[in-house]
Order: sequence, then C-alpha cells, then structure tokens
Amino acid sequence: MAERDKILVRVEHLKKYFPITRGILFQKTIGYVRAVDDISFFIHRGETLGLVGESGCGKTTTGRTILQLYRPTAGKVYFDGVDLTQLKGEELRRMRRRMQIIFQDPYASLNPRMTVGDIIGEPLEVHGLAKGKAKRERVMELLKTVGLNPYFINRYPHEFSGGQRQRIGVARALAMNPDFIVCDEPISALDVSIQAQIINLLEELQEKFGLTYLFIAHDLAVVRHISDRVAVMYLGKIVELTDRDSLYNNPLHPYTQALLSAVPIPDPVVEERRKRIILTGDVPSPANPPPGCRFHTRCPVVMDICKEVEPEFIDVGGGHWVACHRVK
Amino acid sequence: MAVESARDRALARELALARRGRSPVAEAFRQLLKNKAAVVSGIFIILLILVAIFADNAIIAKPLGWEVKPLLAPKHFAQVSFKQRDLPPGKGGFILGSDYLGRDILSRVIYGTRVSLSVAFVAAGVSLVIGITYGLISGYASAYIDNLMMRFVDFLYGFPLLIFIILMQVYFKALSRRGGSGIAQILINIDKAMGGMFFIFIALGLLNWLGMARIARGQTLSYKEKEFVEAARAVGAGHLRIIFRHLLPNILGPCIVAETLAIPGYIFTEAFLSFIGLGVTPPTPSWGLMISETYQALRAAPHECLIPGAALTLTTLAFNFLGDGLRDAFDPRLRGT
Repeated sequence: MAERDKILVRVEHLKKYFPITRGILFQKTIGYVRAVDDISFFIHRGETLGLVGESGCGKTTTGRTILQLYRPTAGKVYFDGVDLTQLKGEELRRMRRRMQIIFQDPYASLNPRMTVGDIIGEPLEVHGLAKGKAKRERVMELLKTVGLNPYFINRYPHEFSGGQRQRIGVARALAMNPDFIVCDEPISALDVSIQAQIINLLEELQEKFGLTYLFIAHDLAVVRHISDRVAVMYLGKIVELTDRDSLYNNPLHPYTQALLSAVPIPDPVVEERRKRIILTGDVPSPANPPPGCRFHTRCPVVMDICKEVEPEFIDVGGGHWVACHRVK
Repeated sequence: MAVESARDRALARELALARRGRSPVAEAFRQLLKNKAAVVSGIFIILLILVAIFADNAIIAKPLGWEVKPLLAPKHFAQVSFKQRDLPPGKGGFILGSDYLGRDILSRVIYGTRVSLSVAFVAAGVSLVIGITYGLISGYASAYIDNLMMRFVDFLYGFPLLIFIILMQVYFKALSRRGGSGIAQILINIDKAMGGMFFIFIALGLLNWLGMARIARGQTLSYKEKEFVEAARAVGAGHLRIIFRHLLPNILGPCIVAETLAIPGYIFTEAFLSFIGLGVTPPTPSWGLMISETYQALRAAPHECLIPGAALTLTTLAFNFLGDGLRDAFDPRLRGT
C-alpha cells in the first residue's frame, strides 16, 4: 500500500476561532477565542491517535471540527481523500455515515425521552438504512456487540448506569459501520472500575471492525495504553506528536516533559525519586494568546527567541514532530 | 425435564427484561399520583369539565335537532322569575337561592363553568402553541434572528396590553351596538354567537404568549447545547428531526407546567373583565359577571355574590395545586419551592 492510502484522516492548517460578541441589538465582534489555531496532522487507517492536553486547550474543538460539527475557520480536513470542509448538505450527510463520535458525558449524550432502540436506531432511520423489524434486529445486534442485553431495547436512558449508558453511546456510533470514530474523553466521566471496561470494549471493537480512533483524553496513562501515536496540545496548538513509545520515553517538548513528570508511578521506590517539573502560572487566555511560542510564559527553559518567533512544527526524525526552538 | 424448566426460566427472565421501559412521562405521572392535593384537584377539574359539557344537553341535542334543555342545571341560566327574587338557598325550589331577577344561582354557576373553563383552556392552548412555536424558532435560529425575535417580545412586554385590551373591548362593544362593517362585523357576529367570549380569547391570547415564548426559548437554548443534540447532528439528522424529536419532547414538560400555573390568571382575568363590564355579554353567566351584578347587595343577600366567588376560588386553587404537582413531578429538584 502506498503511503497515501494508509492515511484516513489528514488535517491541514486547521483553525477554529469562536467570535466574542458584544452589544444588545447590534452585535459587534470584539475578538476571537482561538480554540484551535493552525494544527496539522494525519491519522493512519486502523490506528489510534491519542490527543492529550489540559482543559480548554482545544482538544474537543479539534474533534468536533474534524467531524464538521463546527465549521472550521480555515484549513482543510481530508477524509479518505475527500475534503470535508468543502462538502455541504446531502454530500456531507452521506459522509457522516463513515465518521462518528462518542461523547464524554453519558448522561447528556442520550435523549432522555427516547428509548434505547430509538437512540441507537436513529442513524439507521436518518439514512434510511433500516426500518421497523430490520431496524429492531440491527439494534439488538448492536446492543449485543457492545455487551448489553438486547432486551434492553425498549428502555429509557435513565434506567441505566453511567457505564451502560456509555455502551449505548458506543452502539449508536457503531450503527452505520463507520471507519473513523472520535472518542471525545469517553471515559473521563466514568468510575475507574468502569473505565477499564469501556477501554477494553473500544479496543475489541477496533480489532473487530478495523476502526480508526481519534482518542481525546487528559489521562496520560489511558492514552499510553490505547494509542499508537500521541499528539500533545497546548493552547490551540499541537506541540508534539510522535509514536507512543518515543513520546513517553523521550519527550522533547518542555510541556510534554512537564506533563509526563506529573504522572505518578506505581512503584514507591521510583516514585520517591520522581522529579516533578512544576509549571508556574496559569494557561493564558486563548482569546489573547502570547506572541511567539505559546508556552513561553510558563516554560522552564525559555529563551529570548521564544518570546518573539513562533517555533515551527517540524519532524526531527522518525516521525517525531515537535514545535520548540530548543529542539533542532 | 429439569433442564427444560431451567431453560424456560431463563427465557421468562429474558422476556421480563424486554418489558417496555418506563418513559420519563410515565414516571412523572406516577409521581403526580402520589401527590394528594394534585390528585384531588385533578379530579375536581375533570368534574368541572364534565359539568361544563353537560350543563345542558346541547352536545347531543344540537346535532340531532332536538330542543336544547338543561341537563345538570335545574333551570336555564336566563330564566327570570320576578316573584321569586333574592331567595336564600333552599327556598322556593332554588337549591342555592335565586338572584335579583329570580334566576337560579346554581344553574348560573353551573353554566358559568363553561365560560371559565373555555377561557382557561383556549387561552392556555393559544398561548402554548404560539409561545412554543415562537420560542422554539427563536432559540434554535441563529443568534441574530433570536436577538431580533426576543427584542420584539420585549417591546410587546413594555406595551400596556391590558389597556389595549380594554380599549379593544370598548371599541367592539360600542361597534356591536351600532353595527359595524366588513371584518369588524364578522368578528362581532362570532363574538355574539359565543356569548361575548371571543374577544376575551383574543385578548388573553395576545397577552399571554409572551411569557411562554420566553420559557420555550430558554429551554430550547439549554437543550440545543446538550450532547444528544450534537450526537443527532453527527449522525446527520436534519433540523426538523432535531426540533421535533429531540427538542420539542424535552421542552414540552416545563412549558405545560408553566401553562397550568398560568391558568388561574386567565380565569381571573376573564372574571375581572366581566366584572368591569368588558367581558361576556349578559345574560351569559360568568362568575365574574355574577359577582359584579350582586356585590352591592352583599349585606342583604350575601349568597348571590359569595357562591360564584367560592366557585372562582376553588377552581383557581385546583389549577394551582395541579400545576404545583405537575412541576414537582416533572422536575423533582424544584420540590418544595
């Protein structure tokens, strides 16, 4: 297979700015929140790309912009060679069969007034894929696939636990046999004991259906477990992207180093010697990001150039991408 | 044998699992049935509705061309008897007494439920339909359209609508005496056929959809950001589907609760308009009109005024209790507030 065919999703210079408006009758735009500011990456077919970063750095916006739930301000998103940003109406609707999303909050992501059957069957109905008995059968099959009792089909979401609800969300995403699923912090809202179950389920499904995941999370241990490659985001930018092992063993960006130093190690002897890099200050506002390197206000190894020139996101060898002036 | 019965049991268990889940609405209804005040009020309101329908036999007699006769009411509401004026309850065959024209008060109160309930339900229906439609569109549309639509509501709120209604009533009443022309005359004819209730419907409709529109918009705004709406969009659902399957069912509960709590206000407004002579046309009996006709003789013949007053009070209380019960049932977090 040629290199190009192996890539399912390619994101180029993606930007998503949210306008800040003021005014009662005539709303004036007085600025923008730069939630996602010029990021580029690609995801191979069948792989899991982990996306980590702290709250508010634009992870979720990235996921939703790729799926065109938010229309990007600029940039391109190629899905299997098709530029999604150019698609409209019916064409986009048809593409939606191939890409789905699993949400963070299993309590908000299911309509409380619909039965499980209607929730999971909605994609089938919307795209006219199955109706009546066929839909029912497909829904029961999907329930079985995600490890739920198929006879739950007539129940309502409030009759389920968080983990079960998340499984329902997974079943809905699977309904149309998609190629690509954005997992938007799918386990952050769950109990730790349930988290492992959902992770295992996602891995199983990936193997079974050859799925490609964009796995958004802030739990570094989970991301390490599930991802093939990991991207680290800070304030709307990707600062480092590489395969899992080189990221965890050889982090190059000072922000990644700080993040990883915060992960506790389940070994008291090693944990004792673990040195934490403590970042000072807060994340700057994405409405008014600092010039130069966005991380320079908190970087422990900041140089003069960092305050003026934005570092380029470059491949330093072996597919290890970093945006830092220290790394050349 | 033992194996088979085990399999049977397993099958029975599976089938039990396949039972229909309890929908949130069914759940809320169960909660409502636990609330005694609300249940009693609900039964009272159902009885009132039956009384209003079967005050006379018009519902059967009219389509069949029979003569319309009083059914639940002992007499027709306008049957005057000058020899039996101002009788106290129980005298001369008048269970609740007679008024200053010798009309049977019980019959008039019974016929009066028609006015109060039809005003209540028509006003509630109109305000619910217009308010929800307007609010849903406003909340779902872009911020710009939402802004325009809500500023229009603000403008109407600032407008003294009650004065407008009084002026409208005075104008049409005067016109109906003189005889108008064109559309005005058609409206007047409709009003006459309804015993003077039509303009009250219009007035209350104009007055009350504003609040409902605000509630519906607020609810829409909060639900449209929910992840399940996002999920529907990700699946490729269109606007209509999102509005009718995802938003409307969720906003309907709070809207109905708010509307039930607004009904006593409608009943009171009708009574008030009738009291000041701008409501229903005599001799159509409305509780407000009955009070207004008799309050000057409160000392001499208190029952003439107090009986319709009691009917008015009980009815508004019943709607209030039912509304409270509905609110608690639909949103348990608000219980006791």
